[in-house]
Amino acid sequence: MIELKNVHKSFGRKQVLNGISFTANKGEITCLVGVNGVGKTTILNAIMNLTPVKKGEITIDGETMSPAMYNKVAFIPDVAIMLPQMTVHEAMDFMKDYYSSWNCKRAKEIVRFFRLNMTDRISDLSKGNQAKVNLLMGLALDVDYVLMDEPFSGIDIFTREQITDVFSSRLVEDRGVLITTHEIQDIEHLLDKVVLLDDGVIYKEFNAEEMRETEGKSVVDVMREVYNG
Amino acid sequence: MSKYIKSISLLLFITASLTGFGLYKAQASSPHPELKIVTSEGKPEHIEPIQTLGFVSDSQMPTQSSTVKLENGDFSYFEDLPFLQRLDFSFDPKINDLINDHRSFMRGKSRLPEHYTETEQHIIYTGMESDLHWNHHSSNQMIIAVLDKGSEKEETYSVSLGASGPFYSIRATSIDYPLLSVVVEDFSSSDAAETLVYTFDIENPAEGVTNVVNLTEETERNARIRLGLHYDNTERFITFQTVRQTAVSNYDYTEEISGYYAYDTQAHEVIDIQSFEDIETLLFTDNDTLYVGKALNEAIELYQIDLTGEEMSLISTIEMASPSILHETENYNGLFNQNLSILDGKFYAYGYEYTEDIGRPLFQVTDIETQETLFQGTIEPKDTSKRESTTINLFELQIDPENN
Amino acid sequence: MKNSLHTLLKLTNFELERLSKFLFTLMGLTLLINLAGYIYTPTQYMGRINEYLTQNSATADEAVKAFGHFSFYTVTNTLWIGGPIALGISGLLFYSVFIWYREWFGKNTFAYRLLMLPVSRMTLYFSKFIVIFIGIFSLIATQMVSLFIGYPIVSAIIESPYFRELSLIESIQMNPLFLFFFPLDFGYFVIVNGVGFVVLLVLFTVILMERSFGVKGIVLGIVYSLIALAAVLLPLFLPDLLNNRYLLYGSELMIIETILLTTVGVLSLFMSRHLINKKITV
Repeated sequence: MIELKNVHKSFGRKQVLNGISFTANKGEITCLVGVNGVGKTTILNAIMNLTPVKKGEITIDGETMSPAMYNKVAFIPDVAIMLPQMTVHEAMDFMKDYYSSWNCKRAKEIVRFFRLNMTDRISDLSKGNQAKVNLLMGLALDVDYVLMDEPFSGIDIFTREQITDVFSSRLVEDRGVLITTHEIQDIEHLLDKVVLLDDGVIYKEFNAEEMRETEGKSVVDVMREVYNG
Repeated sequence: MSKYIKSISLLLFITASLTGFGLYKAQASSPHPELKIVTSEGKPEHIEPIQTLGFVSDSQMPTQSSTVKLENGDFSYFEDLPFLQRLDFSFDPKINDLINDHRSFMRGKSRLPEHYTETEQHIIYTGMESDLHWNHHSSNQMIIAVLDKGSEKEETYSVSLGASGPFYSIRATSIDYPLLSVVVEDFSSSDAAETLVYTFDIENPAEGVTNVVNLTEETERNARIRLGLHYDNTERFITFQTVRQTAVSNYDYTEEISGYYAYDTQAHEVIDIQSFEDIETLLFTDNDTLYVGKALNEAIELYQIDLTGEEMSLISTIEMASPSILHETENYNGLFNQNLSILDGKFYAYGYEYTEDIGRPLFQVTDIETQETLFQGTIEPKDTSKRESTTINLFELQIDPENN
Repeated sequence: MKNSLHTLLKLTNFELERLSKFLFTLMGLTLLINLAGYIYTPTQYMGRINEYLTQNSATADEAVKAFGHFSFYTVTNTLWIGGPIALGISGLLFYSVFIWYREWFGKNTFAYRLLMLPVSRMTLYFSKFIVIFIGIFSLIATQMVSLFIGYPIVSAIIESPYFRELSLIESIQMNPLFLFFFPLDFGYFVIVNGVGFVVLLVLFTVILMERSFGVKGIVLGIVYSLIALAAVLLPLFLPDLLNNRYLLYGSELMIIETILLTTVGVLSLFMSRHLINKKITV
């Protein structure tokens, strides 16, 4: 379980996170939703120890983040994070070199699934394919948790469909997934938990399916209520 | 493995180059020319008391110069000393010896050779506070430190000289244990500096310093006082000249020696010494004796003089190895006769012998009693053919009384 | 331990791979510019000699008197040698900054990947540090090899009456530049490398400060480097502070300097460790 307790973070004078607490469980897809600048990416960065928090505690299965934990939690940011001059193959080799959790077999499966060409240079790939490489780097790791930051931003509809398929595939089966996205409608039906952020605090935390069943509202409906009203 | 090929190649390249270079350097000879003493007369062991420092340079390669040290007849290069020793090296042989033998005593003391006198049992340091740091430039405090060489015990006394404010410079010190004589140049008077002699009784330090003689008043008010250079500083006499300086322009002046004197540290008197007319007069002292030398063209007639300074008797005629020695008499730092001195009955002289425009340091050691030349010779590069443009210039010289 | 050493090796190799193009360019330039100097300088000298000989019907001796002898030192003392050395120093200094910033800037943010590697982040730090030193020593080695190549070239171009027989090592020892960069004098070599070591540690700390705290980090970095500079320059002013120029011997000041340099180095290392582990932000 990824657990955030009373996490505070500010950039200069701007308070971005103001006492955030929530959990993301293994085997569930948790989605952080909120408008731009609400602190979604900051939360993921903070979990991965990529940005320090001012106050609060973040644990993963009861432990604080350490280098060894990067074999347990994967993060897929919305920017390309491998060297542009690397080929897909070299990028995979790089991962294999450093991550004991790298699963070669699964990596090859993902390459096939996304129809990537291993000899292509990352810099020559389209934005959509670069996003796929990013997913490949994260999903081919035998980790307990996967964090994804805006996996659909700026990519075409066909790639989006392909990525959406990932969520219903066994690539994320049994893992805990924490995702931030604007494009909520595409994956709404797959979500277990939704954490709604507003102005640095958690506005609402709910189960997407329960919300649908009990109140008859979709996640987008709830968002509309919050941000328009 | 192929992934590491670049790294391995680079590391191998670095290791091979550095090792190769190290081996090449180890087998290559020193860049400093090897020097030798060429003895033309006498025995080379008589040069052993001479300690000297010199620049070895090459007119073809002006950036290359090194400092050579001659001690006990052996040459060594400053550049070949271990790194940390080089940092402690003093470019004065006397100070260097003192640092090597009495490192703790030398801590915090000035590095001027005239501030140190030595007897068999003691080393006495006499320096102004102003010699230690410019912050104390107006200090009138004189520090006298006495080291007992046997017990390694050090006693330090601080005594005041006149008023504070003016600058005091210690020009010479001399010991007749326990009486220390200190020649001080006092810049308090606005028109000209005065040279005073103070005494200090080391066994009765409570009495402080006594100003015994004002050399300027005793001799010539408007003349500068130039002291004779002594290597022992246990001699009874401190020799000096008075020099009149006449300005010929804003930047230049002429000098004329107006008198020769000796201060008797036992009788506390100034002896006026007659000079030779129309011929250069040299003035020496050794132990209890005063000598004047008549600088002839290729020889020195050495006379012993009595305490009135008037009676003189010829005791020796010393043939000079080269007339150039006499005509090169050096005067710097307010001293005279730097290249000629008498120590325990031996006359030491150095100059340069010129062959084809290249001067080689030339030394001469003569017994003044027997007039025998104990040593005469030059310092030259070993490989003269390869080192034809190498020049050796001595810049510090000291005769070690203990080694004499 | 074995594992982290293996990771360090892998990362260093990876960083070296990334440096290699730049480094090989610098090494190549050094060799090329040196080579041009080995040929151009003596050729020009011989040209002048020959012109003098024909115009004045002079003898070789007279020509030597007019122009002096030519030695290998004459070449090592020119910009053909000094230039590439300066280029190498500035190049590697630039790379020391670039080695960090390249991970953040541009289209790709490789910093994410590096900081998320399941290895101690200090391994990352050390790999970058080691690579800069490999770069430095590669250039030093190149310069050494170049001199060994250059000596016979110069000897071949200069006719014997004009050539001053000066061995290669003599020519090298005469040039003060080599005293600092080549292991000619152990003391100097250690000092120069020690200072370089500490400068790099401080520079890395300043960069990590900026990467951690942004503009505030730049101010902090400048303040830190000034404090570090003041600390290592202290021995220069110590005799003045003690009001006695002779209270400490030169060797003692050097030992104090070494201790201060080590302190600044270790402090920078600890600060960097704290910053890279706890404060750095992507």
